[in-house]
Amino acid sequence: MIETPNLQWSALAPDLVLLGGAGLLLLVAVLLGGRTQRDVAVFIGLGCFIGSAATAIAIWDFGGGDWLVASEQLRVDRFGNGMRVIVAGAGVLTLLVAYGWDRMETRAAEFVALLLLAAVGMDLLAVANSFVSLFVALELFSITLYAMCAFDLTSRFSLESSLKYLVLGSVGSAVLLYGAAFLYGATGSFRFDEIAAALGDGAADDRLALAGTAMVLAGLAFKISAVPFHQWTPDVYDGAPTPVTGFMAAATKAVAFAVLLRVLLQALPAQADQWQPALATLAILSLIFGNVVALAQTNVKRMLAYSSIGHAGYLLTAVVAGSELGSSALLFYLAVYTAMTIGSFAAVAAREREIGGPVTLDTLRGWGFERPYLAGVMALSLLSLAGFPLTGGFLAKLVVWQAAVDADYTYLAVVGVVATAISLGYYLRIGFALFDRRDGAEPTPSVRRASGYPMVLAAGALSVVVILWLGLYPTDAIDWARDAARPFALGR
Amino acid sequence: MSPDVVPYLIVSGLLFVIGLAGVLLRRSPLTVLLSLEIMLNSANLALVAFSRHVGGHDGQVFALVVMGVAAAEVVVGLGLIVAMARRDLVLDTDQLRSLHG
Repeated sequence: MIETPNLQWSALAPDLVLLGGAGLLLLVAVLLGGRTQRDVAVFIGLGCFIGSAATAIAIWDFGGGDWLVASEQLRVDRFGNGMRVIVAGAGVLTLLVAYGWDRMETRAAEFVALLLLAAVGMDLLAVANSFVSLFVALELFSITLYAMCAFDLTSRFSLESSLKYLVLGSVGSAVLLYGAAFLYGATGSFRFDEIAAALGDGAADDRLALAGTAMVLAGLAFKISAVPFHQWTPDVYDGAPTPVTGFMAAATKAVAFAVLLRVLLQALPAQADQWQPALATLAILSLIFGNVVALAQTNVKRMLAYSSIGHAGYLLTAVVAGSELGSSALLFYLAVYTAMTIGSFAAVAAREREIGGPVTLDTLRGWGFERPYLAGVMALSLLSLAGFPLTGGFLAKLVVWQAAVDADYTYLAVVGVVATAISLGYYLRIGFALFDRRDGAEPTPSVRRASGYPMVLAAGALSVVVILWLGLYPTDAIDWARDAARPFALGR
Repeated sequence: MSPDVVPYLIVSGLLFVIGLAGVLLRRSPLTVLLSLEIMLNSANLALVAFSRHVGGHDGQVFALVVMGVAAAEVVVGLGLIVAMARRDLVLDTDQLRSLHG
């Protein structure tokens, strides 16, 4: 009798739904064509994402909310399930934004299949409990995203951004892998809990552990695009097709932060004295650099890319705190961040289709009078990104700073406030351009009607609902985030 | 650390640096992909060496997994290069600068 691993299928149900959908879609790609294929593919995709979120909520308390499955390679806990819901939400919004994209008229099923596979990788990354499952999940969604970035085969920008992403992303993965090898040499295990135990009782080789920690951090910093590992971000965000950019900006960043938190607090808590100052430095650099450079941008996608680098700084602040409050703040922030990021990219995607070219501050001028609803979505998303009161972004920043102050990192909160003040400079510039009615500010004419406009509007409306819900009635969401983040704290 | 794995780690470290230098300095996307493979395989060598150092087979199994992943990555990379060649883009990383960055 061969011993088989204990595989709890129900723990993997949210991922299996997505995986099954991807398989089905590859059949759809062969059997149907044109617009029928697009409608069926988007319908299946939406169904799979909603099913995935529903099963993730259904298994919220299974295994005591902290469930080791698949030979202890995966830890299906509340935090992981919360991330699965966020990824599914990002997937739903992305499908709605992508619906009217002209590539969807010919290759919809393949695109949705890739999107579902990327989501499977992200889900598995959020529940990884060893460097083996972490690496496989990370590469699953990274490789899928390289292909999605290149999806517009006729555009040299799309191809170029994909190649840049592939080369720099693979360097990040290789550095992470090398770090995992060092940690394995130091502790004799790939599993996070065993690594933590070996490092905690001093049985590990200190030099190897230090080298491993440093390289794992560098590899993950690539994925969260923290300064100075951010060089790929503006180019890739700018060149990739806009629906893909929105998905990458929101979901990739969310799960990369989730796994960073898991590695630091479940595998390397004994090294906290080393990684806390390192990450605090990265946070300050990201906050200042991202927000200052964004001021100089005129291309809206590049501006949002630098803004996302700046947001990596706020999120790193929550990680550095290393407390239960910090971890719940991170989860809450990621939920809001997903909604407001895709909300703003949805408007960019619609405008891009109307004018058939890049969206800059000039081409957005006066657009608010032509498309008040979508421009309103964009304005609200930007206000939330800037942290205006009554929006989810305000509360998210507040909780992060509270966590930083509680953990004696007051200076990070201070830098964060300064960075927020700087960021108003460019967020408000987009807002003013949208509703600019001065003489001579002729809006750039739309060369064609944006296809799939109702779908983009639906995505925008959903984002607005989430932003306002988390901003006005945050009690429930904060309680859930607390519940999910309980095990994520440094014991001191 | 047992002395018999140290030479392997030194070779692995050298390979990693050679791969990184290749990614940063070479201009042909094909050579860059090759260099990426060298980086991943240097990590494989380190994994197998550490596997011997700590005892057990986990590291060797992981090295096999990494080979599979690396193959998938190269497939996408080569596919991209073919797509670029079809569009008559110059295959030179110094000239791929239409996204100024």
